[in-house]
Amino acid sequence: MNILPGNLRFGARQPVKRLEDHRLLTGKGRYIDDQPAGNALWLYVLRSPHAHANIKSVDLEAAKAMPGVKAIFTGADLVADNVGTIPTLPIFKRADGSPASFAPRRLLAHETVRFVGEPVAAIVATSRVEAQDAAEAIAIDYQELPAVTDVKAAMRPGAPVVWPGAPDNIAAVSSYGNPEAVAEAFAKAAHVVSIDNIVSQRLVPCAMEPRSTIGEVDPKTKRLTMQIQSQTPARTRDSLATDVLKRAPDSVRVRVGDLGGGFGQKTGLYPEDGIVAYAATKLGKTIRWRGDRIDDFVGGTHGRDLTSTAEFALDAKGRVIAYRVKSIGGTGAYMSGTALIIPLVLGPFVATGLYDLPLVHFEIKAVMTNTAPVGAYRGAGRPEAVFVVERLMDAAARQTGIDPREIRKRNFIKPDQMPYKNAVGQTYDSGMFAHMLDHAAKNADWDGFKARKKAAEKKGLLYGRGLASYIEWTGGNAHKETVSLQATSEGRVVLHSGTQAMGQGLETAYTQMVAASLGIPMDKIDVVQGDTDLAQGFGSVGSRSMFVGGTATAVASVDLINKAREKAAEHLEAGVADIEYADGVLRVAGTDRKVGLFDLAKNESGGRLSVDSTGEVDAPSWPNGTHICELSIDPETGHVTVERFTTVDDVGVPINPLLVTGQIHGGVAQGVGQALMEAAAYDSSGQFLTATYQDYAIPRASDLPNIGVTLDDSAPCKTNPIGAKGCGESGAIGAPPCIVSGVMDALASYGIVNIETPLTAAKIWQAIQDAKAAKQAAQ
Amino acid sequence: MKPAGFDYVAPATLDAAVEALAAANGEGKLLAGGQSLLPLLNFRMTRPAVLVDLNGIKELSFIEKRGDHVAIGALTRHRDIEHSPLIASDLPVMSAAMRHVAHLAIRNRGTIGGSLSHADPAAELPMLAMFYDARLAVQGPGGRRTIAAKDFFVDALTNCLEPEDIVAEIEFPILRHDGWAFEEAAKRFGDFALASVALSIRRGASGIEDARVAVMGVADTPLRLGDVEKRLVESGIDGRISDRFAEWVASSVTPNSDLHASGEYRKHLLAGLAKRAMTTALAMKG
Repeated sequence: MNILPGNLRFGARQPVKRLEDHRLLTGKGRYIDDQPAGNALWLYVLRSPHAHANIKSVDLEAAKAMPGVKAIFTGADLVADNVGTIPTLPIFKRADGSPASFAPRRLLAHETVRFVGEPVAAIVATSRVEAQDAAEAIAIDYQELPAVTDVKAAMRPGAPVVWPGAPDNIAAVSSYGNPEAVAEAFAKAAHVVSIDNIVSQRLVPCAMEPRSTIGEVDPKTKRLTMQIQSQTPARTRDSLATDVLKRAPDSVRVRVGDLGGGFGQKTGLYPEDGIVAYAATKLGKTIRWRGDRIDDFVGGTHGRDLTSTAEFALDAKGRVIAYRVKSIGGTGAYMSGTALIIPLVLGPFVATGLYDLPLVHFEIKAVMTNTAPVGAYRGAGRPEAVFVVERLMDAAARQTGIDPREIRKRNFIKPDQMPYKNAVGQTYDSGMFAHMLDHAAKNADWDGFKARKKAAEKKGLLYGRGLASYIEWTGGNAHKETVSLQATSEGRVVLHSGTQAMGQGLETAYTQMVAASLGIPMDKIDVVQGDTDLAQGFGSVGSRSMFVGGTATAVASVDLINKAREKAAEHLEAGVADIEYADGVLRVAGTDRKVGLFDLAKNESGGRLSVDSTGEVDAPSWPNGTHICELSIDPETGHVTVERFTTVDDVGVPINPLLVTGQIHGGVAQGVGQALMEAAAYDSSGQFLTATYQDYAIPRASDLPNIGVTLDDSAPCKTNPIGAKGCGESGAIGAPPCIVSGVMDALASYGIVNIETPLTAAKIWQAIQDAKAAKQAAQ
Repeated sequence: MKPAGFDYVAPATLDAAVEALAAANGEGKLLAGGQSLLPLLNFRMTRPAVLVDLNGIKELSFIEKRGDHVAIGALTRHRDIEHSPLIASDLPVMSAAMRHVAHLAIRNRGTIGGSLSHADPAAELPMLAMFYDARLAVQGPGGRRTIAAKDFFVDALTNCLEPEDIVAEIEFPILRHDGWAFEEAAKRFGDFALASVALSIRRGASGIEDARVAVMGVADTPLRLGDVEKRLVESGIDGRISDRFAEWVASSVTPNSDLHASGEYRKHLLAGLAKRAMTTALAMKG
């Protein structure tokens, strides 16, 4: 960890309004599709209509003769040109110890297609519509093969095989803990609580801006400049250059511009990006690809898809003495960059939640089906894992008759146990979990619930209260970020950062930090992100931008002042120790001899006084908190109305509480979507049933209550100098179990204990009918 | 551009539009509000050779009272119907239903002629046409003719028009009733209906003297439930009337199951909506 002077405030706890909003809301943003068309050629991606098929032949003759067509590429062309495949982390194993096995993820399918939407051909033409017209003229002879879309069906003997290297469709497995000791604990448990099918269903991440890409080659230097919608420009560049194009990373530049949402879906290199790069290089032309919404639905990575069976062994006092989970993580037909690490590693990091549960046994299988690849989506593994443990904790409360708050408190890790190493070896630095729960209960008016329930019941409604406590691992295992901070002779301060704004408000947060540290007004500060020629950090994933990127920014501020003091000492012919810095002016202490920061920049090369500074944090940060909701259900329709939603979140020291609150709001909204309405659905033949917003429902403002967020900074992060914890994903982690907890509470009188999400009105109604029928049958 | 290529004509009169459509030899499509057509074009699910844009035909946009009915021009926007005082006073069920028609942005553009011609079984206006026993004035190469709503809707997304016909205006007879309701259930507010009921009644000394009932979202076309109307008139008003009505309505339909809801659930929803509708209608001053 960097040690920083204690008197720097870094602008923390200031609710500065978003500086970027005026620009973005008045149409002055610079998204990829805002680029003038110029003389670029357009590329259209033809996708597979089949979930599983052999490509017997491809007839391009008619398509090549279509107006405006410049080139058509197929998988065979790319293989012939030795174009590489998109990698995933090579660290996983199958059950027999052999390396993980899965189909290579090509830019364009070669010989076999494995999901509906897989790119099979790329058409380059002078206009987008000509390229699309030509795509329709391509005749592909497919030999259809049996497909499997359900993870459980995929594991049955005789199931269609997605990839011959893994005849059981299991790409890789992982396991944690001590099975024998856990079995022993279960044998002597006072209570065993289990839930059979806890499903975090497959979701479609819904960034406002669909993906698009432009590739351009400098005719003289042959350098390739890509504009890609990437949360991780430098990693995307490295993967594109090294793995796909097989050229030196510095011969490729990746620029992003403004990014209309990412949510994890834009963390890695996509086939379309690679095809554009390949076509631009091959043809020596500027190539554009613009995805439609449907290209994100069928061709972007999906999220979640974890099915678990979980059980607690508890002692008579409600202490959990052992925890066992068996999970199946759906990966889709190909491995995205994060497909395996999410279910096999990241989920288990927080599988024990905020609880002191040293005795565990986790078994996870990563299973392939003929569906779109699964990748990161807000939370990536943590929402699924926390969902399981929270659902089980609720069930335990009900089974043992212990208050749901009390059973959590009995099992929480206590502040005096910090730092606490959990069952899979992750160390939590700080956290006051019971305090956060109590704070949330107070803010949610826990005791007023009874009266509200009574009032709702008078109107013929069911009424329930949901409770969930969450913890999140953040940082993406990338604990360093290098930024460049410059004072310019024109009187501006410029920050180059490799993190990537996509709606979080990083420009505002970094600006307020730099402004507070340097004493320079915010309107003189420029934050530049999304250009691998300017900064090459890890990017924005895993809620790391503020606590890692912000740490780097804080370090850079200190470094810049120190460098300016040295330069001022030379300039003013004094000792460095005598130079004081305040508000952009360097002064020899106790004298009127001074020089301005920006005046010093005039003497520097390029008129810039510049530092490159690396900020490093010691460890992941562990944001946590408690969500409480109240909801009503119309028993006639099954429709859920979320009436109240209250959170208390420990994000350590919030740099900008307004931005953090917005992050929690957005995450909660997506979590409510997961709990109540969102589901990506395939039929058994592999057709994708939810490829538009007519069939894929996301929550609208009218589906959400006011979300009451309180940031409680009683437990600042101890492993970074600014005390911040990540905050980007936590809302999406707490909300799903909270809402489901509330629905189960409302339905408790029917004896209903589990309904698979999304809890649509139709499903809840059916569960009520089934419960009534079962009750009648029993009488 | 996303659609497949097409020719575009923008006639200034209805006659010119009919001519342009006829000239397209069955390969033409009419563009009114575009709220269903443009997505279908963009997905290339429909590929007309010619798009005949009606938006320049001023004569097709009006709401007028004509004796015992209200006439609405085919190009009248949903938003104008929603806010029309005339519709509110003379076609109150339509007025109440309009806020359920999709979302504000769609209501600003979408037209009544377009919605009726599109014939979505889960859309409000086709159902209201059935409910009010509307008459559609249709202009074709042979001149103008009138088609009753009950003959207009043939199947899901299918009407009885010939390829060169254009819906010009729609007449809605005014119901002289004293109680009414419109009820709808959708996944989210503004989504296509899972089930919906429109009800209007006139009460007299012996009970219900006249009744109108229509439903949608539960069959391939919107349905007017004539048998239920008859039973309502024969039945007196008592404490069980809402329940009986709900039963009659639900037993009149056999909805299909789909991704969003089972047939059984839709039927149950419909019963609940019908009960609520009758309770609301009866609560109005007779």
